[in-house]
Amino acid sequence: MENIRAIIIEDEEPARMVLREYIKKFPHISIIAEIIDGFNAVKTINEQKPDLIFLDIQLPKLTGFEVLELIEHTPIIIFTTAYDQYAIQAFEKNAVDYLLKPFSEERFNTAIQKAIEKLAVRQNDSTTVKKVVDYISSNPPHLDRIVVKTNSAIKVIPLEQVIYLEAQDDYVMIYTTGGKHLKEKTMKYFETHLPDRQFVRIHRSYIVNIDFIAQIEHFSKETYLAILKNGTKLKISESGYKLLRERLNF
Amino acid sequence: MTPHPILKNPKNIAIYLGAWLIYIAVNFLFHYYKSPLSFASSLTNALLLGIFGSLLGIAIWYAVLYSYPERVGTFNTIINHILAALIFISIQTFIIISLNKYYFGTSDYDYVSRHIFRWIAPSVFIYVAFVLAYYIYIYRVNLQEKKQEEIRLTRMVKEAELNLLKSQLNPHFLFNSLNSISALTLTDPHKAQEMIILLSDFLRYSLARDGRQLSSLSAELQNIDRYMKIEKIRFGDRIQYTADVVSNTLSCTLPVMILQPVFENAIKHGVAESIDTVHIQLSAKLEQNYLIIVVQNEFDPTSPSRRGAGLGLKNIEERLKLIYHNDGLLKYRKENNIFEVKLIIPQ
Repeated sequence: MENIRAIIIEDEEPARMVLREYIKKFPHISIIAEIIDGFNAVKTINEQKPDLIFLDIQLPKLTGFEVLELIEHTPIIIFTTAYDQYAIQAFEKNAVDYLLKPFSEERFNTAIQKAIEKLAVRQNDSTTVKKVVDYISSNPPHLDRIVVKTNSAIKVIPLEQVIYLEAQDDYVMIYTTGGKHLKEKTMKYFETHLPDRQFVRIHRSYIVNIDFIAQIEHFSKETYLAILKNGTKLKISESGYKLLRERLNF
Repeated sequence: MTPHPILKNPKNIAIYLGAWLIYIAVNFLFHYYKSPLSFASSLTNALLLGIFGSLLGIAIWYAVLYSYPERVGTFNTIINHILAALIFISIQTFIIISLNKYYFGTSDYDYVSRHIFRWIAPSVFIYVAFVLAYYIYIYRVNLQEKKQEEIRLTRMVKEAELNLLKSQLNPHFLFNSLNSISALTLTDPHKAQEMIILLSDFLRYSLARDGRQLSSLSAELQNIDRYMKIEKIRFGDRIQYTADVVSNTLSCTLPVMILQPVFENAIKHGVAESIDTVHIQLSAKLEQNYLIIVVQNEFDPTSPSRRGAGLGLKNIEERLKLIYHNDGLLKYRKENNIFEVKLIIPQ
């Protein structure tokens, strides 16, 4: 049997230790790295392209799901988590294998068997994993930060720093106090997942953070302009104007 | 059902009967000396008035109880009472007149029938007085009941709020601790046993209390020690905890399990989000009559906090407000990479 290259992504030493102990019984699985935070997880997965990863959900820097949003190479994934209702639902719905901590050696072995079978038929996990990520991102009521990848690094943008979003074909350009970032998501996605007391879709092409609106001006008969604190002017559509009025109470 | 205000105890009955006897006596003496009525007529009239009146006084209660404005309407209530009074006073008048007509002298009958108003007026007055007295009594009782009910409800709501606010055991913590224990059983069974005992003691302390109960600072700190020891097994060197406690504070009181959420917060936003060592520092001192507890933790300012941050702290604030009826007993601030929570506990 071919050698399986695995990475453990887990911030708690005892949890890593259990995994190491259990993996020891499978001589053809070698642990090529142990990672304790989200940033390094993305970097290492992209560089090392492992066959299999054990991925915890609660991690420093980025969550396990945010890691999956950012990796270019999708290995077989076994999630490990202690307690996370959303995550468990997502796993169950999408038949991805997951281990609930603490887990027994038998349970672990079953997960490994499944992973080996998948690897044998070279069946890539990417579609199911994408489903899990989609499920997760569509279910918690709101996003609380946005992760983007720049050329050299990963950026985690707190929502307070997001000024506005602009539709660009299949992408969305995110304008922040520190610059702008492109993300492969739809406007619809952001419209439904950004907290609506802070973000308003003022136009087909714009979602704005109301904290950054300086004033609203009449533009033509039925359209208005939002002038932002940084001087940017954004068109407001008729329906967008109505939404703004509701949200800002004027 | 509200008990009859007169019949509910013997003392009231005695006072009631006594009052009627006095009324009968006065009525009798007045007519005997100040009117041409004979002794027999004066006495009989007075007795009749008294017996009827006293029975009526008792009976009106039931009329009031079943015929009040909220139930049958104001108009119906008034009509009912007028009808009842009319029937009753008619019968009474009829009996008095008949007795005087058939058993006493003509002069008695003449006098009574000419001055019948003297026997009707007191009865009307008594009827009205009783009705009013009973209504006032019922409203007072209802008001008191309502007030008590209100007090009971507010207390229940408060109790429920307090229990809700009392740190709910975080399942994440529990399962992660169990996972650490499961790891220890593989490498260090002795330490695993130690940890199970720590966890059991911690659970006992956190479960067996209600939201209002006070504990001593030393008991709270002991529990924090357990909590931090358990978390230290999970996070290893990433946690460092020190406590600086002035000894005269150890017997101070504070709501039970009020500190644990502060530390949970520090671990969640400080330790769990960082890959470096995070110092968590507690200090406690007594200032005038306040126990001042400050908990500081380092955090990674570049790691944006997730929503839900501060929920645990809000709960503590609410709890302190409910227990001590005082705002502003919890303060927190962020400075550079230090997060500080300050609890001010009245002694």
